[in-house]
Amino acid sequence: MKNRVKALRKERAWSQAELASLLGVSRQTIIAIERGKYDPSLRLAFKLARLFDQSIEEIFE
Amino acid sequence: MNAVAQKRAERRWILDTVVVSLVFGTIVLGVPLVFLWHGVWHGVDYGVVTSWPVGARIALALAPMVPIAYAVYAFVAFYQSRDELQRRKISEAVNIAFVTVGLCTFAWGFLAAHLLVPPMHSLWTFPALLAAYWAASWFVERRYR
Repeated sequence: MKNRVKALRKERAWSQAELASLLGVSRQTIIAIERGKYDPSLRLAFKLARLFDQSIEEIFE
Repeated sequence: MNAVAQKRAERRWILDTVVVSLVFGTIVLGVPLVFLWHGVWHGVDYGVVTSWPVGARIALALAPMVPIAYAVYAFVAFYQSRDELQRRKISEAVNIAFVTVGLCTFAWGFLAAHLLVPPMHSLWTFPALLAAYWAASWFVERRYR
């Protein structure tokens, strides 16, 4: 599944490690999500949506 | 869980695995040496002292289960310290390892039933599972990279 996590993260000038820390996951998980290798759980998707102040549909296609 | 705590949990798991493997190896290799030391080989039949009381034989037979039980406890603690992607990787690696070892054990059992290979001792199951888990972890890790 494609997503806009990388673009949204860069807009805020956050590093992958910073985003990982904010979400309480590992940096490897952020890398896998950004590369579309891993689709996050609904719980993590909601956390991302809240953090970026967007809806889940706006982040994930 | 932050990155430092995750690293700490990872190091703990590696240390636990090494310690468990050493204790398991010591028990598996050490018990026959104890027999040899006490000169009780005459009562030993395939590594079992048949002249001992049943309780002692049960304790001796189940001795390798102690490090294995600790390994399960350490593994659960390690699993709980991971995030959701890491848990998925662990679950996939465990599934692959158990299916692989299960199939190999079945195949070996059928071959042994036809006297084509020697019977396999159950003591090999734990090292085989550990080895299969490490190999499967490497394979699964590559999938999500």
